[in-house]
Amino acid sequence: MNRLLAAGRTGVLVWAALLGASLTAGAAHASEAGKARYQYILNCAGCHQADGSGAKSGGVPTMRGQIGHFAGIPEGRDFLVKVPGTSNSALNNADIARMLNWMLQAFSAETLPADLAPYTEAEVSRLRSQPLSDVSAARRAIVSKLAERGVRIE
Amino acid sequence: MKWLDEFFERKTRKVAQSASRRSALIGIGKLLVGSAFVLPVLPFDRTAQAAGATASKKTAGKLPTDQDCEYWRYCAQDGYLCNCCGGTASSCPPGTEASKVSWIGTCHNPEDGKDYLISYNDCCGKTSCGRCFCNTNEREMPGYRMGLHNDINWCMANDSTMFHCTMATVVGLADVKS
Repeated sequence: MNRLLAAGRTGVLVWAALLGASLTAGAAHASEAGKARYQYILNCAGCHQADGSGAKSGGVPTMRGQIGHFAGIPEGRDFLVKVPGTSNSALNNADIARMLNWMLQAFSAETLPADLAPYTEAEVSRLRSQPLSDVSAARRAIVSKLAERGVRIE
Repeated sequence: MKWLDEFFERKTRKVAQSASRRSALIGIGKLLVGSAFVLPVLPFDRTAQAAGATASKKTAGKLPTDQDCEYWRYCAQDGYLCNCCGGTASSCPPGTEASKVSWIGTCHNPEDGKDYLISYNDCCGKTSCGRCFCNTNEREMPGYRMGLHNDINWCMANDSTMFHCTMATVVGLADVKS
């Protein structure tokens, strides 16, 4: 429980920092980030935790300092949409695009590629119609490709 | 008092001889039907009384506490309330460990009129607490919508998968609607 609370607090700090940064950029952006955060907590944080740290013993890997690396290679970028937790969720394509863009910044900003293009609704729509037949194999292939580049995925 | 008995006997016999039984029944019938419009008849509408009872409950300071299933934070609860099992609504009883995964819902707090994100984490490691079972399940969906289905032992991701009770921890304010 202590660990959980601690994780929660870190999460709150992350959102506070993010919301603070967004507020300086404009109120509209802040509400976009707020909506993404809200939908993430409601739909994903049960397993991935509010701060994206996951539950390792339950087979939920952390996304912190990791998902930016995924976004750096095409198959990794696609994977974040195709993975069942995302593609099978009740959220619509625009909500998923917004949420993934927020997650990349909130959980893995330091690992983002310099030329990162944000996810768009059309891209999410296209990828959701191409489900993965073997999720674990697809992930392993991405992890080994990143390993060749010297990036370690937990 | 014998004269009184004889007086009423004489009067009754006279009425019985002069009036038909059918007219008597008609008279009684008119009396019953007529009184229905004046006197209250079943079924009573008890809504007003119920509203009064709720109001008096509030004024008496007997709003649901966090040991009652009706407490606002338990709107999507499924399990024994940890508050009745030696813990609180947001901390596990001694000897148990919070589940690493959970079900998250939103509940409306009538006190401040806001919606809150609530994380329903199980406490794991001991057998069922058995007290204060609470199964409100607001907005739960059947198993084919796994993400909205909470009939799950959240202890599945912990070392010990024994379910003891369920907490309802506030994890955020639902200030932005989906």
